[in-house]
Amino acid sequence: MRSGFRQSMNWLHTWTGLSLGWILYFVFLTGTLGYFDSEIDAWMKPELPVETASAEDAARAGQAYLTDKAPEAKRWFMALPVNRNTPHLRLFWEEYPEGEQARGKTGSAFIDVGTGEELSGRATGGGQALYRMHYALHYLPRTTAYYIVGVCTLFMLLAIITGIVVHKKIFKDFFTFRRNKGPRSWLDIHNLLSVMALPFHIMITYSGLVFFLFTYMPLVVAGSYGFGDDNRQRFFDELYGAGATAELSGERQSVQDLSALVTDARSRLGNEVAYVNVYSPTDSSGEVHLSAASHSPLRDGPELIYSSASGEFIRREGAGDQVPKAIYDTLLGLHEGLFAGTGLRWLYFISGLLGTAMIGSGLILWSVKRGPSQLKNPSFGFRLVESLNVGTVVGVPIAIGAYFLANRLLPAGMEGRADWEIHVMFITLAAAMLYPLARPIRRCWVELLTLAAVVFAALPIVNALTTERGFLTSALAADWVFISVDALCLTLAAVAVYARRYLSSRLGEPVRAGSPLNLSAQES
Amino acid sequence: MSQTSQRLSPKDPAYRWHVLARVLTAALGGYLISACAGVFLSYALPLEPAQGVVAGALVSFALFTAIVMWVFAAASTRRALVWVWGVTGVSVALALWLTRGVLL
Repeated sequence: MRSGFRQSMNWLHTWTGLSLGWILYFVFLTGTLGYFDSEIDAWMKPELPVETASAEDAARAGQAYLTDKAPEAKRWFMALPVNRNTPHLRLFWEEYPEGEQARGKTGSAFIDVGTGEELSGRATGGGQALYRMHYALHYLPRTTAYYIVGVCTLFMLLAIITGIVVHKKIFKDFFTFRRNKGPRSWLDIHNLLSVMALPFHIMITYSGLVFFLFTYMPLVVAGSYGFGDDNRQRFFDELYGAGATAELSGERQSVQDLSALVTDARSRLGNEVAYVNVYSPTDSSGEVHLSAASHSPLRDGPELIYSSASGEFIRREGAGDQVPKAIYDTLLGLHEGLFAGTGLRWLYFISGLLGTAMIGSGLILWSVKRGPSQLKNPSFGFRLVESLNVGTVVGVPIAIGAYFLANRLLPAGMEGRADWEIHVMFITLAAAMLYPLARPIRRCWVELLTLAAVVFAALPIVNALTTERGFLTSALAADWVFISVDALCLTLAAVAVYARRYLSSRLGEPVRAGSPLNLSAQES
Repeated sequence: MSQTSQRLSPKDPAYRWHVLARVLTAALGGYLISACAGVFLSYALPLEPAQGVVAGALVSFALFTAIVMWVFAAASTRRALVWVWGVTGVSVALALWLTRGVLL
């Protein structure tokens, strides 16, 4: 909307980045924590022992539980506890549909292999709840949330591409940082954060759209398959394979010992078996499909298929021989990072934090740039942006800290406990976002940063007081999940203290274009 | 005439209408063109139907992004509107013809 290509792209960058930036900040931060979802799960259920059972023992325990709980099921599924993605045996089952139902009832459970019982422990949303928020938000119907996040993601993609286009000297600017120069410093830091992890930012944004490819682009599917759920299902069946292919024989037959199949499949795959699917377990035509965990971004590994009735090996189904599907799978695999080992996982985490900081610094840059001209008569829009900035940039981390605190402090037997952990998180976030109504904006920054420092410094202490896995114990036991959470909390508290001290030392200064956070327009 | 919005100052009352027109054109026209391009690609590529759909849909977002950028880079609002809605009309007509028997 300006003359000149670069100017109009600059305009587009500013407004696509700003208008949905606060939701994107939330999405990036919760999604980044999702790279440690299983570890956060473990931290939020500190009473659970670490599962050490073999794949065979787990398969045996899972089969016993499913035979007892869902003997007439249409499908059994087991995720064996063989790596970080599945710390405990996870079961899922689906019954045959009754009457008019399109799909039968489903159930799921986490099992302690040693006892064969369901896992106990406090009710919590865990790391999974945080991870789900980054694409499904919360309190909203799923599809609505997918569309909201989809629009935000498209804005993010536009902001990234236009951000690159407007950059004349991307390499030189990367090595430029001008300290204490107000908007210039914020521009430099925004550039630095964006360029440092640029390939990650592009990959994560585009692949984020690809996750809901057929939700966002239903017309492309309809163009070849026609409208309606049945036609969509036909497309998905062709794309993914329809699961079990054999017709039901009607002859009853029980399932062979699955642990023996796990042993056999391991040697055929050359990898540890992670997933077991049993189709039509009651029927003599039933099939067992076994596959390994992904060891590469191409998530679709080969599958071994056995007869569930005889335990005989039937065939091996390859994967990744169709190019478009392989590209699609690779994009999703790169986004999820399930294949990543510890080092790469931390790199994912740090890149995600850089992305979050990129969004936060961009939001602040918008208001810092406009601060001087808004001194006398700040417009409603300017005050809204300033308030939303402090409410999300500092408020979202505080809210996540409150979620962790609630996990330790809410009574164990409380009704709706897992839901209340999340309510606490969003009540905290709402309070932080409304806080600027009550206080001048520069004081809001200082006071919310104080609160952030208190919350994150409190977490290791509360953890030590309410569990048997405090800092000393976990350090002695080399319990890396608990050590890392404590260390990250203290680091975050230290960052908040540093930012707070920096800002409060400037509270008394008059506002000028050169002060890094001249946000005191309302303070007089 | 062709200099409509580029010289408009943000203070001009017409400026907001120009922004709105471009936003709607970029969002709706851009979406329809990208979806249709996805359909064309899924028909044109020598692949199984499901694989063609994946390929077409994968490319559509990149095209969508490019169209939005072009709409806001165009020298005048009128130029952006005429081109995007013109191409939208042609694409939709062509897509309907291509998918006759499947869609309707």
